[in-house]
Amino acid sequence: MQRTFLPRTLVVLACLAGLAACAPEEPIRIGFVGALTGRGADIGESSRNAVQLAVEEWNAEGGLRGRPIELVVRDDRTSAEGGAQAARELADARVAVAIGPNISAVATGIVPVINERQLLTISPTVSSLAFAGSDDMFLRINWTTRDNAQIYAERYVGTLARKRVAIAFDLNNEVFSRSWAEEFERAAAGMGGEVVSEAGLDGNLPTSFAEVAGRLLEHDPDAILMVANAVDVARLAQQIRKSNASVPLIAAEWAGSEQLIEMGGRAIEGLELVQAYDRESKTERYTRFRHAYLERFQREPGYASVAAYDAAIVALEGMKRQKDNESLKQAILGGPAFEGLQQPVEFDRFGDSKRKAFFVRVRDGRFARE
Amino acid sequence: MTLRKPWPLRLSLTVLMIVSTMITFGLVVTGLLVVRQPQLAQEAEDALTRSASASAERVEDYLRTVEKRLAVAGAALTGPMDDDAGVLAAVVADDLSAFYMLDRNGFIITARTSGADPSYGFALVGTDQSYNALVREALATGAIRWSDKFLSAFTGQVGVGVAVPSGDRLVVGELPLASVLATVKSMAGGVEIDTMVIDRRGEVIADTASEGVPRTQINWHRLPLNATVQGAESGPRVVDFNGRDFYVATRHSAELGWTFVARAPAGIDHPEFRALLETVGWGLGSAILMALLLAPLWARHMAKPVQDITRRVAQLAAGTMPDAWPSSSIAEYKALADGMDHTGRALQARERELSELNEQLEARVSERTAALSEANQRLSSAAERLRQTQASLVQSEKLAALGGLVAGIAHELNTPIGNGLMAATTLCEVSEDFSTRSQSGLTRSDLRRFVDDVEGAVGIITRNLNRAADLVTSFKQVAVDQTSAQRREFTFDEVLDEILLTLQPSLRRTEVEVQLEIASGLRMDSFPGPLGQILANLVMNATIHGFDDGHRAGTIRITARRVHGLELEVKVADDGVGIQPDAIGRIFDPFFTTRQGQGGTGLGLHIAHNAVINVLGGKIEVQSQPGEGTTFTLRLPMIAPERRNPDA
Repeated sequence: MQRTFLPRTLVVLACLAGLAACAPEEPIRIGFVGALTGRGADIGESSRNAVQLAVEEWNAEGGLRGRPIELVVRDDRTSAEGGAQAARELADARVAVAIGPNISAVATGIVPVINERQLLTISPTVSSLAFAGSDDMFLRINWTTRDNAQIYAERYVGTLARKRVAIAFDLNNEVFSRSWAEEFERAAAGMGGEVVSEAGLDGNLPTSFAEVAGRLLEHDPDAILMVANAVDVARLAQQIRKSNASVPLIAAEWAGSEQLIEMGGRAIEGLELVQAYDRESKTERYTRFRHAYLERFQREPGYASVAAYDAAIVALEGMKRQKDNESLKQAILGGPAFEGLQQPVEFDRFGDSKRKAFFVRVRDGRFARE
Repeated sequence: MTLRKPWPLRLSLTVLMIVSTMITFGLVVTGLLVVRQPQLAQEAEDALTRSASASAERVEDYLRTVEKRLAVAGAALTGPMDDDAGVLAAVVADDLSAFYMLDRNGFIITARTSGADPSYGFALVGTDQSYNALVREALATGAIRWSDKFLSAFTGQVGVGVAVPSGDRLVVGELPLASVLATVKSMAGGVEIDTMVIDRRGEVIADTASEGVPRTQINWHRLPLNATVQGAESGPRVVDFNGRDFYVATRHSAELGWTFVARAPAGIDHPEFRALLETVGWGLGSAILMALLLAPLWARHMAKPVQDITRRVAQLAAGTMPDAWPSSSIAEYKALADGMDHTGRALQARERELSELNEQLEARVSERTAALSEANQRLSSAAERLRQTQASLVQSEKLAALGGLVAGIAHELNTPIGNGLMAATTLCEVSEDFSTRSQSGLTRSDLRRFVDDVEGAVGIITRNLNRAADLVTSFKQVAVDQTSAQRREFTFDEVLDEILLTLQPSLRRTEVEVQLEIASGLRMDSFPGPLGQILANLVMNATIHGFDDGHRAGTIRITARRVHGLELEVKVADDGVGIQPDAIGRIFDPFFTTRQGQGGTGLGLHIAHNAVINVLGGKIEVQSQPGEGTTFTLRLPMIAPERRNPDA
């Protein structure tokens, strides 16, 4: 008895340790950073919903390499400081990869943090040239403002011959909106168009919107182009329509959330914009996604949802592809294209990607493809 | 199986005390946890249910006051007039972020937002809100309606709103999420209880765990938490909440369409459970500490008497009587010490007795040893005498055999010499007769008769003398063989013939017939003398014992053949009376005889046996059935080994 006491004790201890080891597997965490409050909350929420849907779908299929996936969500409050704080919190939470943010202004706060903390971050929608062409931890699946503005110019200045355009741009996201406006102006000039007036739009000063509307209408433009978020576009459209019922309104892709229509009311009927996805796609894959999203969140998926879902696919598939001896970034950039919801996602060596363009108009309270 | 080094008593007592302390504590803790945890879970659930209900009621109360304010404002306001500024400011107060009145088409009649320049309200007049979900639902139903969380076009912030129909107009108020949160927070839920408000879509409106607006929330619709949103509130549930387990209770507000979720950390994070664990942990820690401190001291105290006794036992084993056995306050130790004392004394006494007995025993042993060595001496000399006697007996037996031989020779020579003598005598007579006749004149026929007689007599004499000479030569060979026991080459039948010749006189007086069946050409390189003696002894033994000194008629059959290449098998078989079974095992023993006192020496077969084994290097066996005769079988090497015992 005496001789066997010690080994038996060890066996008992080993069993207890074994029980502890039998606890559920530590989840793989992925982060989301986006606007859940502030004026970007419309696309923030629809992006988060799409990422959450992807994670829930993967978990229902058994997770990633047998481990459950846990989504860690942080609100960037639609600001660079909020974004930086959110990115730090995600890094502290040891997420394997982050998805977000939606807005270039927020990205200016986030990118230094994720590069310092080596947290690979995939943005669904950021398009400012400021983040393109740099070999860092920030990957984007959207086109750049340059590509985007070029498409807008070709469509509206070129094809639809609206030569005299007035532009309103968001002063709170100048890194995106000013460069967008400049790129547009350059592209439009190449097609014989001109920007007849330009006005900065500060969402923090809503009282100024009536005046901005007046300035934009001053030179009787062929169209008014608004490079701003949905809230500000809705407000500005309301002000424009109070004094001018007919001038064509165009919005940059950014404003094209589902909430834009709720906020803009009849003032945005006829508003035109370009989106990076086909909202009327009838492919089986997209239909399944749309139904799942609608049932889960009781809203239609928007452009930010589609882009964020693609970003989630890149993140999750990338981790699945990742070999022991390579980083996630290498796994994502080095491999073949990812199968996005509607189009393949393929990165260049800087982690930039391109999207297809679809032309949309608001008709009877909903977006309709042209 | 290897034996490990045994543990010292002190160590095993220490371990025993510590382990029993830990096991006892472990059992107590397990029992406590098993009993207490469900109680704590139940208590937590009750507290959470109360908290969720209280929060819901509080928020409903508060929002009802908002509804009333809006209803009053709706009745008081007429249009976008400066007179209304006071009313608008009062309605918005501190908690609303925006207030506006719409006509039935959804166009703003008058508006006011908090914080911003009051003139912004005028800017909003005439804008269309008919696509707003809340406005649309309220216009459609004509009932008071609370929104889900939404992004306000007026404030650019996320908030909630309420639409209150007022006549053919609609009054809408928007609240920042902070207002809801403040109301929920005012209902202090208790230690570590957090409350979350979720709208119909699963979006978080407020969470007391966050400062200000919720920053970290996912959409809860369809997640485990929401399982009870539609169904009845049911039992204690544990939900994974941002990676941690929580007890959860929910309450749905039908009025608002929102769900109030109260949660408290479950398992180890539950405050009371953790407090219990801490208490238990402290208790366990203290108990182990005390055990660690006390156990070695106590164990030392317990082990000391045993060590003392052990030391003295070692002394005792070494032969020294310890002076004093330790006394102990523990009864068993005292009994052990007393017992060991007693045992020590008893051992000493017994040792003394033993040494006395030992001395006596030694004396007796030396006496016996002397007696034994004397007896041994006597026995040795007796044996020596016996050996001498045996040797002389063997010698006399050999002489007797030689005597028999001489008698046989004499007898055999008798016939030719007698015949020769008779012929010589006859010749003498014939010669005298012829001499007499010659004086009287000889006839021619007389001379012829004489010549014939002389020739006849001389022929007889010559033949008989030749016969005698042959016999002598033959006997000389036998005598030389028998006396010198020399090794030479010979044929078996020569030796057998010579021996039978010498035995002839003895056999002729008997009714016994000797038959031979000898293979030809059995050449041997061996000792013919001992071989002849063996054959003679076997034949004479058969005659004497098998045929009752030759008085019985019978046959002795001698066969010889070559077996196994270089071995000779010789059988001497008779059909006499046979040997009794009790005697058959002893016939080769010296001095064994069935004719004690009738002239048998008991050495004949012994000598034959010795000669076969020691001189010829062969084997001899006997088979016999009483009444059916006896067969001796010899196996002899045809080339004898080097002689081992020339005197045998």
